[in-house]
Amino acid sequence: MATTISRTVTASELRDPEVLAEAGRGPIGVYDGRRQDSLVLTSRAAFEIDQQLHRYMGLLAHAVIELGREDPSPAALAEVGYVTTWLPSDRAWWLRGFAEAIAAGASEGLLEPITGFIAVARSADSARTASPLEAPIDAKLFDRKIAAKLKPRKP
Amino acid sequence: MKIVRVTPQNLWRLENIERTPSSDIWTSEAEQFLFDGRAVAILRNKGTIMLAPEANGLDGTDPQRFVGVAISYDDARYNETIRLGSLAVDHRFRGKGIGRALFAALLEEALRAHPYALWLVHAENVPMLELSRSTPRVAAEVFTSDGYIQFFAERQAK
Repeated sequence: MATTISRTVTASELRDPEVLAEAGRGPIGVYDGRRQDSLVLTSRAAFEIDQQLHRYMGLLAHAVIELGREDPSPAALAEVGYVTTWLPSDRAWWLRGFAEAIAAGASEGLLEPITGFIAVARSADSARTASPLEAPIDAKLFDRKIAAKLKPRKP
Repeated sequence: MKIVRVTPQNLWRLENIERTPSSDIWTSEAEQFLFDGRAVAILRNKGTIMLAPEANGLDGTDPQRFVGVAISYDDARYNETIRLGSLAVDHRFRGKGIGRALFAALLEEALRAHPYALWLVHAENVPMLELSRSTPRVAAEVFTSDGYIQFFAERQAK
């Protein structure tokens, strides 16, 4: 998705379907005769994605502030409030991941990296690391030569 | 097909992988582990490796779309040992050699980090058993009492 203004047209040129099609692909400038500045014309979808990206960037800033507090408020973090229940070390991972997802979304003009990250991370709370993993493996079942290679971890 | 590391930046693509609608016990166990949050939770741990094959030419959609995923992590019981965890291929993309390539890549990455690798295969999971047995680095396999076969592989080929 184009994010820079490709060119600036006059208001009368907006009757040209090609100009409107170009605006659908990425923003174009429109001269406003009454002002020094120009207006920007873009598709509604691009505008809404941009609005959402801004909202997520704001949410990231709120998350940095809120997760730095001793008792972070889930309400302040809207749909990512779940992260306030995570362990502090896991929150740092989440913050970095959220920032990377926003960076990926912003560079591609997509919301999926961000909404997908929020959804995937939501289920990966700190309690999940404490829950049992897959069935354990018993080295003693192997023959002596193999079993001797597998040194038990100290508790 | 290209196999990539799963990182927070591309984690969202796990959402693209469709769970098998009706499946064998080992498939549902693997998918549950990979998609119920546990796998992503341990992805935070140092030493965890999560790999995903990208569609890249397999269909006409996003070439970076994930069509499977596999995980390995430090074994909880043994030193210098990595556990190959679950592996899943999107049921819509099976039969194309994705699982074989993914398993080979995971084992290679795992043995680059640790000298030994361990994993379990359900005794009725024939494709995975064949895949495990055709791996030259496998040095041993043994039945367990609960219907699984545990495999041991090492960095040096046997």
